[in-house]
Amino acid sequence: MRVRFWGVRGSIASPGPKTLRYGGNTSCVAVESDAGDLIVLDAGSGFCPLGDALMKGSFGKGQGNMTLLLSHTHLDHIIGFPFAPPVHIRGNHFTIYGPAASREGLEELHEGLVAPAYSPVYTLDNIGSTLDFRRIPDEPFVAGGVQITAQRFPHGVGVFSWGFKLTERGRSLIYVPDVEYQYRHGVVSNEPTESIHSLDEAVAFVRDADLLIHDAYFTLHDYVPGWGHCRTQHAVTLAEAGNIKHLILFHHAPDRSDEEIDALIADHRDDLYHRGAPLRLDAAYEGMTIQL
Amino acid sequence: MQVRIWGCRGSYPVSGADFVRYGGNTSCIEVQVNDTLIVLDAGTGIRPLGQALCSPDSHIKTNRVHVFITHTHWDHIMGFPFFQPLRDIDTYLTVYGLRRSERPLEETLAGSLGKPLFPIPFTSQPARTDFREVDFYTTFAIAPDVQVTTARLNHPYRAVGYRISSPSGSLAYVTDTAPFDQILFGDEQVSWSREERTLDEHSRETLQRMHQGVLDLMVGADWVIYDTMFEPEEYTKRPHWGHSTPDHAIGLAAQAQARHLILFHHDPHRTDREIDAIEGRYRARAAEVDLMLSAAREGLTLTRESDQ
Ligand SMILES: [Zn+2]
Ligand SMILES: [Zn+2]
Ligand SMILES: [Zn+2]
Repeated sequence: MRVRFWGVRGSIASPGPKTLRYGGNTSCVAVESDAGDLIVLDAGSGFCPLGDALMKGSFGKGQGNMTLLLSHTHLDHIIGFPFAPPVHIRGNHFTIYGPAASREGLEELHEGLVAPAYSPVYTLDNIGSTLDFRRIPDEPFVAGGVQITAQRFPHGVGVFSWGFKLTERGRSLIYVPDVEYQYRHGVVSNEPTESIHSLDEAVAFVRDADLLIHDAYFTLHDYVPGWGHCRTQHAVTLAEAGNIKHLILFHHAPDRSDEEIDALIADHRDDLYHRGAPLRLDAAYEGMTIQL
Repeated sequence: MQVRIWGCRGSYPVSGADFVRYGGNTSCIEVQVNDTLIVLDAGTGIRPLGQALCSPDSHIKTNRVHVFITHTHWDHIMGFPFFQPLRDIDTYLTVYGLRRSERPLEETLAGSLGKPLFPIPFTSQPARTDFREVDFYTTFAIAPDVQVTTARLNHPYRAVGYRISSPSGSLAYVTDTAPFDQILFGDEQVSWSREERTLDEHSRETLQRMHQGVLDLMVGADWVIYDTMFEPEEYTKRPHWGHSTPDHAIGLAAQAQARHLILFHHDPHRTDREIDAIEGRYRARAAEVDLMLSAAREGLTLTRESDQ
């Protein structure tokens, strides 16, 4: 699998000179499988430049095929979708897995996203491509040659965000963009059996993956409990406990400047080095590409 | 009156080395008239504005904010929940937007910026917020020395243009709008096909009324901030998108004898160098009709004193 980051921010796009190197677009990660299938994780504002790039290939000719996995439906994970050119080209096909009680619910939500009050698109019927909405299955499923497993993670009071595990030819990556781990069972969840709660419970889901792309919204110093995001140290602890090879800190807070991300990464690497920990650690930036 | 641009990008925010000087944030403008603080649109640019207002060395000491929404397309409202003064119990916010028979403004905003699209509904933030729905072609005062005039813009689902007038300056904010000749946009969707369309009598009259209304907003204005998303050849391909070109804006601004035209709502693909070129080319054209012209960029600050 080949992974490319198109948007690495959380909450809202934050363009500008302070975020130039890591980038200001919100969540979007493209995964090209060894078999040549395209799987995209979330459709934040980074989905727009991805869409522009895709127009140079089969999507420009109306022959494109994408599996889009939505972790949840907060705007920073879906806002890019109606603006991306491939979506408006007849012949392109999008299979969209997202969190909803039903596939109709997911379609309705996207209908709301392009409703006349909010978008000149007016209705999904005007979107030229084929949109195949699906509820995220409870069982592992397959897209192209890639095996996908989904897991609910707690994301603030009463809210879930899905994490995804993608496996192909014995290589695997985990995507957990928005999570705030809980310390006591049942505190926030209405469906305690269906969600992971604590960091300990998350270990089984991520174990032995080659790559972990994980929420890094808060640091030790600016953590706000209840906002649905964890501290970067949680990502490191999880990666080490789960025997992860390479951890990518992702979903940076909008105000985290390039210098602050540099310093954060340096601190974590120092700590890993002094403990002799083998974990490789980086911060996601727009354009970052990883071959698995 | 002091005007400052916090976001000037159209459609959606963009980030990267190509968009550093003009900026990637979507529509948001701050207007200050003595103690009166006005915010035009709540695109992603409203987030850095809110931070500036809440910082200890803020340039303005008021907790009263008037927010005028041109229309509720995403690029004009998506920053709203991230406006930091909403989290201050002392903030008193009035949000102005178009009165619509089918749905109150408050509901349209709440529906878009609450669950499941945003974790905390912005209407349940600590600040006190009230909503004032406006009609087209009206004038009202929001402070003894500040008047606001509205007009209808030619955009899908309709949008409101505003003029802010005070003894210390006047600003016309005209975005998003198509020109007033070929297509009439209303609440219903305009067909996307390219077939030639002829306008009926009623549509022609409506367009003429709009044209006059926009001229009225702009007449003698110190600054006209105008939707110039397209270059002429782009407009020819997409007349049904509801946006204008600098040529349209210059024509109207010159006719209205405005002083300074600001090109606004840049296409998300337009790079810094391309905007430089557009500004250079059209500045020369505007000079011929005695009009100052600038391309909007984040941080651009306008006062009568600074721009003579
Ligand atoms: Zn998020
Ligand atoms: Zn717009
Ligand atoms: Zn618009």
